[in-house]
Amino acid sequence: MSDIMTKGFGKKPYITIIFLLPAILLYSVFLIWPIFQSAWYSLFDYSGIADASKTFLGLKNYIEMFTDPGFGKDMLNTLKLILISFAVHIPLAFGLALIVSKGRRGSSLFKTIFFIPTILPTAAVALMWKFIYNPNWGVLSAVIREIGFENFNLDWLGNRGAAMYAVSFVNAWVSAGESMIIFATGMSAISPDLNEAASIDGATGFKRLIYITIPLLKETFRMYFILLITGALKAFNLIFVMTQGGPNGATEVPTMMVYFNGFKYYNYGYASAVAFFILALGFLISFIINKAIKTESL
Amino acid sequence: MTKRKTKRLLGNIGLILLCLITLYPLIFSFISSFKGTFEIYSDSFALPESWAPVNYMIAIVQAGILKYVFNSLIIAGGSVIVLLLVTSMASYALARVEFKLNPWIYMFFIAGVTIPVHSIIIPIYKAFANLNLLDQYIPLFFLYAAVHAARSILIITGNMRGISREIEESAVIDGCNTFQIFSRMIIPLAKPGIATSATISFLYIYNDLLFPILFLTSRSKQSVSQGLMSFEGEFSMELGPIFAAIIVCVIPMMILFFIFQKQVIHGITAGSVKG
Repeated sequence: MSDIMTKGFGKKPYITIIFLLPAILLYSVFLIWPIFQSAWYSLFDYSGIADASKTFLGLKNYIEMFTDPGFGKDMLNTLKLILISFAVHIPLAFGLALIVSKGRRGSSLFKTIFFIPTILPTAAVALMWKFIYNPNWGVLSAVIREIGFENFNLDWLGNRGAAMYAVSFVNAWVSAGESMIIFATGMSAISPDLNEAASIDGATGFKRLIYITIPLLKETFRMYFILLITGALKAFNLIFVMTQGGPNGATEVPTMMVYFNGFKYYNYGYASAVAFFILALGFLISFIINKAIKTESL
Repeated sequence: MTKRKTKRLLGNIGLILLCLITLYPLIFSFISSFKGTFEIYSDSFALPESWAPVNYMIAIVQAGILKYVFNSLIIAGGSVIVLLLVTSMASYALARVEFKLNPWIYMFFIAGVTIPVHSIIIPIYKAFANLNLLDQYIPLFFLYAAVHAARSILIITGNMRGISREIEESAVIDGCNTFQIFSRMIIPLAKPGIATSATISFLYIYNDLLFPILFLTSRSKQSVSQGLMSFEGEFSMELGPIFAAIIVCVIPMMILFFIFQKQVIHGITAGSVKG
């Protein structure tokens, strides 16, 4: 191994190792090893209680997972989460990036404001929105009643059909600021000359959007999708505090399955299988997105 | 009105509407925290009758919400300290040394950003339980540091790569060893990256829920998230104090955010936007 080390480290490789070691140790002990352990547990019927016997099941946990209708529902909920977030973020991010990038005065104030939801404690956000969604005295229902659409008022978090959408909206609300920054940064990299030249050539705003802006935002979209999907797969805190997965599992997501199976039903094996699946799926999707949205370096 | 003016007006209205939706939950909580329970039930929109901080007294004195805030601050602080120590060292090595394994080690850490925490909690919980490490802060510091290490390395390495090597070269000529160079010269120059990483991790850890509910069982050690959850359970009939508690818990983060805005915004998107 030919080492080219800068003068700072001198010719002593062991110093480099000393600098790297704590991080590598920490990482391996708390992240890498547990992942392998998780995969291992997932092959057993294991209750997690000390000294409990483990029965080797092979892939049975996974089969049970894929045939469990609850699991399918959970994955569907994750999909709803992704869709709602996407539907909320894209118009917002685009609209706002367009407005903000025009150097409007106070744009940094707006940036600050839109970022506030992201910095709030999850439990606080969950409680605030729980109260807003309250069908009797919550603000949302109050507004609906004032406008006169009394019949459209629902128990937003208690209605099995609406609950997941209600929760997804809050999730989108929290991460809206983040997505806006991602798109604003991406858009600021697009030279305004391109759009100007295009409009001189007669392209309408819509056409300019489709043929110029969006293709140049490929990288931004790639980041956004990976963040969105991996974020949705990881979603737990918010939903847990808002509905605990209820009503009757209507807002349950796979991460909750891990939690409940692991820490309520003491089914470590099965919980590990779900956990491992989430991990693998996240990697797979990131991989696919990276391949699908290949960016050519200019 | 000209088309441009209409567009601008609509844009402004839209912007203001969005700001409202963005901030409303906070505003609503703030206003409600001064109201009595009956007031909250009867009219969501009205301003409170009196601005007396009665609910805050209940939240702080009776329910001890400040203890939870304090706990979360300690948890976040301790974790960030461990995090910075470990990752600044590793980042230095990664930013400077160019041996063949380097890109692999770098990728090794980067992949960590996508690892969902749920995939590790079961083995970690088991291990902590076996080693009698439950319900303690210090193991939690290391756990959080590990989970945040990837992002921190990403940020700090990026920062350190930009530091000019001449400084190190002249220091070596002066006879300094690596540790001296690192602590006296590199760290001060890496302050932006370190500040960003510290701020963003502090934020996430303070706001976190999963690790506290798994690992912190005694009331006196619980975090802000757990405090709020149990609050809602205990005071479910008296809404005023719950809102007061929410505001109290949110204030430290608001302060942090307003002081370190740049770092927060940069840190959250680091790893997502290359640069």
